[in-house]
Amino acid sequence: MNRLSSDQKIKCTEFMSITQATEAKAIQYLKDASWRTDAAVDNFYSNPSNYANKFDKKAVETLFNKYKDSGEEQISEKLQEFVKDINIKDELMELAVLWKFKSKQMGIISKNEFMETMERLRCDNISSLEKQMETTKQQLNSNDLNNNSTFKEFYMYVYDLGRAENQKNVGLQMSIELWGIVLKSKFDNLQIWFDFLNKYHKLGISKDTWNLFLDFVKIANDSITKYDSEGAWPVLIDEFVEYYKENCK
Amino acid sequence: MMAKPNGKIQFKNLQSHGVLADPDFPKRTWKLLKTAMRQIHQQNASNLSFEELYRNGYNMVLQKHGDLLYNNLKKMVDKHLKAVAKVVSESIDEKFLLELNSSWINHKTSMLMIRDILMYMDRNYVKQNNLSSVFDLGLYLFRDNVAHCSTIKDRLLNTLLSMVQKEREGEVIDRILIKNIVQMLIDLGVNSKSVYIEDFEKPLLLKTSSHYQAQSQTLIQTCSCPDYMKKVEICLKEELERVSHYLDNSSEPKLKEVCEKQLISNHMRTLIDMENSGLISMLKDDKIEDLKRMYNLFSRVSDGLNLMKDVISSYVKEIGKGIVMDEEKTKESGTYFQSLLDLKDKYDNLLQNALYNDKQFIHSIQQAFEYFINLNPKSPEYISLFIDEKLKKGLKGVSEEEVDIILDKILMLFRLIQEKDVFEKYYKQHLAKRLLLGRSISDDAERNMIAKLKTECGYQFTSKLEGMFTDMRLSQDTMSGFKTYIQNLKKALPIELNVHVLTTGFWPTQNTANCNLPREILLCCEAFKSYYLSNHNGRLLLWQTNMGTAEIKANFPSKSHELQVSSYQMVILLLFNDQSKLTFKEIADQTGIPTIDLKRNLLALTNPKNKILDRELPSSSSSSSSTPTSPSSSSGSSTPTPSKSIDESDVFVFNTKFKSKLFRVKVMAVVQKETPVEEKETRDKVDEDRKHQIEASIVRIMKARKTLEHSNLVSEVIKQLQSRFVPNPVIVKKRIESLIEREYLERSKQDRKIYNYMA
Repeated sequence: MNRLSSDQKIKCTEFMSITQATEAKAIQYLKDASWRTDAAVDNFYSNPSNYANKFDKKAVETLFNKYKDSGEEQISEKLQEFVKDINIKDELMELAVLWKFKSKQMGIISKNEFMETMERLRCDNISSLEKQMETTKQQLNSNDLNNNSTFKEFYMYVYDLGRAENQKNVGLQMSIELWGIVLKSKFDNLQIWFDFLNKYHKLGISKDTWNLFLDFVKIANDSITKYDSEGAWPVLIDEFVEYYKENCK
Repeated sequence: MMAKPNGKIQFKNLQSHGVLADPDFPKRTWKLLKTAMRQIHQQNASNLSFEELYRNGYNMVLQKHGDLLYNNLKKMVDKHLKAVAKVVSESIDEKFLLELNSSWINHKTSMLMIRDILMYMDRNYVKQNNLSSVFDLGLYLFRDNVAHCSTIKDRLLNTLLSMVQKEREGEVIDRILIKNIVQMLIDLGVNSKSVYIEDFEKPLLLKTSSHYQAQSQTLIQTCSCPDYMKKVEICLKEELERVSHYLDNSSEPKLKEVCEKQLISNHMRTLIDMENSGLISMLKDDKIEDLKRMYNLFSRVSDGLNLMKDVISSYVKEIGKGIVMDEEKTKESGTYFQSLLDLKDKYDNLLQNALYNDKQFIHSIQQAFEYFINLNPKSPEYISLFIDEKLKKGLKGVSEEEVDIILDKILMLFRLIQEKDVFEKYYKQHLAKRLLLGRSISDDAERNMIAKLKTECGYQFTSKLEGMFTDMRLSQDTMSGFKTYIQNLKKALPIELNVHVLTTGFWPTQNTANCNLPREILLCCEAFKSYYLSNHNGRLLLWQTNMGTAEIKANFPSKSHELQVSSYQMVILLLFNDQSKLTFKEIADQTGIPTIDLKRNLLALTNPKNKILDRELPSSSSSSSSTPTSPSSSSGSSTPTPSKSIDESDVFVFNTKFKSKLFRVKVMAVVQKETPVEEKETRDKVDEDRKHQIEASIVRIMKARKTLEHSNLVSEVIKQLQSRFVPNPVIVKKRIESLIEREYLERSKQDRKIYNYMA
C-alpha cells in the first residue's frame, strides 16, 4: 500500500470496500484496469470465484420501487428522500450521487441507471450504498486537486448534467450555480469569477472552458501570477485574469 | 698574380706581402681603409682606388680579421655620424631640414661606397656571423646617432609637424623636402616602417586629430550643414593629396580614418539635427546635391548611413502620419490619396537622385509608408475611391502609357495596405456603380487595373471582379436577343427597357429593396422576365430597383426637358402625373421606397440647382404647438427655408417654374462616401468574412498537420492570411475555441496547448 500514490490508495480502499477483497487482489485488479475503479470491480465480479457476497437483485428492485415516481420508471419526485436516507446532506454530494448513478438528466435516476449502478457497486441495501457514498465523499473532498483524478471525472461529468435537453452548452446562470456547488471550498476567488462573468460575459459556457477552468483553478490557487497568457487558455479565462489584475490588486 | 715560368700559379700578393708573418698587417690595412673612408665621408672620393681598397678589405677578411674590420668600421662610422649630428643640430631653423637631408644623402652615398669596398666582408664575414650588412649597419648608426639624437629627434618632428600645419593653413611648403625626409625615416626602419611610424606618423595622426577636432568645432558653429559638408569634402581631399605628395601610402587609410572621425563621426547628429539646414530641411526642400553629399560623407563612417536612414524614416513617418490623421484631408478622399502619392513621388525622386537607390534606405522608407498608411482605417476605402475617381474622370485624355504609370504608382501604395479585404469590398462596390451607371471612361483602363490587382493578389481576389465584367458583356447579348423578341411580339412595349442581368455571387450584396413600380414598367419587366426565363431555366430574377436609372421626358410650362434620374426618382416623379401635391408619407406609402433612400432621392430632386420638385413646409398654427424645423423661422411666419435634410412632415410640389439651360438634365442622387451606418455595415461584413477565412485557414492547416501546438498554429494562420489582412491573435484563439466546440478540433488530453484534428 505504501508504494501507491494517494489517488491510487483511495481507489484501493474503495475497491476493497465494495468487493471485500484483500489488498493484494485489489491492487492486482486495479492495475489491470488502469486504476479505473468501475472497470476493476466489473472485472472482479466477472470472475465467479470472487463471488463472495451474493447480490440480491430482488432487494434492489424493491428498493427502487420504494422511491420511484408515480408515473414513470425513475426516481425523481422522491429523489430528495432517497438522498436523505443515504445520509447525504449537501448539494455537492447530491450531484455526486447522480454521478455515481451515471444519470443523464439532472434530478432524475432512471430505472436502468439505478439497477445497473447498484449491481456494479454490489450494493443491495441502503446501508452499503451509504458506505459507498461515504468513501466517495472523502475522495471528492480532498483538497489536493492536482492528483485527484476522481474529482476531475466528477467535475467534467457535472457539466453534462447541467445541459438542458438538446443544448450543446450550459447557460451562464446554471454554470455559476454548478460551479458554486462543485468548487465551493476549492477556489478562493470564486465570487470574483462570478462577478466577472455576470458583468462581461453574458453568454453560456462551453465545455472546453468548463474543463479548462479546473486546470486554471489549480494554478490560480497557487498564485495567479503564475498564469501564462500564452498558454492556449480559452479567451474567457485570459479576460478574467486581466479583470482580476485590474480590480483586485 | 703573375705566373711563374715553371707554370705553377702562385699568389703573388700573399707571398709579396708576407702577410702571415706580419702582425701589423691588420692595423696597417685598417688605417688605410680608415683614411679612405674618411675621404669618402668628406665627399672626396674621386682620388681613391677602388680596386686597392677592395683588395685591402678582402685581405683582412681572408686573414681572419673580419671582426676587427667590422668593429672598427662600426666605431668609425659611429664617431663620424656623431659629428654630423652635431653639425645638423647647430643649424638654424630654416636650414635644419636641409642640413639633415643633405647629411642623409651624403651618408647614403658614403655607405654605398663603403659597402662596395667592403663587399667581400659583406658577403662572407657578415653572413657567416649573422651580422647586419654594411649598409644596414650604416642605417642603424644613422638612426641612432642622427635621427634619434636628442637634439635632433624632437626638433625634426616639430619641424615636420609645423610644416604640415602651415600647409593646412594655406601656406606653400617644400613638399619635396618633406618627401625626402619621410623617405629617410622609412628607410631607417630597415625592414619595417617602424621608425617612420613611431617618429612621425603617430604624432602626425595625433596632431591631425586635434587639429580637425578644433576646426570642426569652429566650423560646426558657424556653418550651415551644406556648407560644413562642402568644407569637409575639401579637407578630406586635401589630406589625400598630402599623402600622395609626401606621405607614405600606408598612412592613407589611417589618416582618412582620423579625419573622418573628427570631421564627420563626431558631428553626425549635430549636422543632421541642424535647424534650417539639417537633414530634415534638406528633405523638405528637395536639396538633392546636399543630400547626395551627406550620403557620400556619411557612408565613410560606420553607422553614418544608419543614422541618416533612421532620421529619414522617422521624419517620413511623421509627415505621413500628419497627412493620414489630418481631419481636413481625410474628409476629401481625393486629396488624401493624392497627397500620399505626391509624398511617394517625392521620396522616390530623392532615393533615386540623392541616395543612390540604396536598398536599405528604400526598405526603411517603405516601412515608414506602410506604418502610417495603416494608421487610418479608412485608407483602403480611400484608395478605392481614388481609383474610382481616376477611372471615371481623371484619366480622360491620358495616353495608355501614362495610365499604366499612374496605376502602377497607386498599386505600389496598395501593396502596403494591410487590410486588403476591406479594399476589395469597397472596390467591388465602386466598380458595380461604375459599370451599372456607365461611368467608367475606358474599359481598357478598368481591365488594366484588374490585371494588376490579379498579379498583386492572386486569382481569387479578382475572380469576382472579372465575373462582373462578364455579366455586363452577357447582358448586352441578352439585350439584343430581347430586342428581337419584342419586335416579334404582338403588342409593342410602352417603354424602352434596358436590363443588366447580374450574377448574385459576383456583385456586392445589397438588400433587395422593394418598390412599387408603375404599371407600365411592370409590364416591360414581365416581358423581359418571360424572355429571359425561356432561355435560362431554373433561375430566379430579382429586380434591384435601387440600382437602376431612367430617362423621363418632363413637360414644363416653359420648356420640355429630358431628366436622367435614378429608378426611385422615376417612381416618385411619376406619382406627380396624377397628383400635383404629395406629402412625404404619401410618397412613402405609394412608392414603398425605404425611408433612407427616399430621403436621399427627394433631397436630390429638391436640390436648388435642379429643383424639379419644390418643398412646402407645413404651415404652423398660431398656437405653435409644433416646433418648426428650420431654425431661422420665427413662430407664426412660415417662409420655407431650405433645410439640408428632408423632414417627414414635408410636402412636395411639382415645380412648374423649373428652368435649365440644358435639354438633358442629370439629377445626381448617388452619394459616394458612406454614411456612418453604412460604414459600420461594411465593417461588420468584413469582420464576418474574416471569421470565416480564419476558420477555413485553421481547418486547412490542422487537416494537413494533424496535430499542432497553439502558438505554431496561430503563426501559421497569420502567415497564410497576411496577404489579405493581418488577423488578430486573440480572434484566432476565439475561432479555435469555436472550432473546438463544433468538434473540428480537440485539445490533446496530455497537453492543453496542443490541438488535434478531428476527422
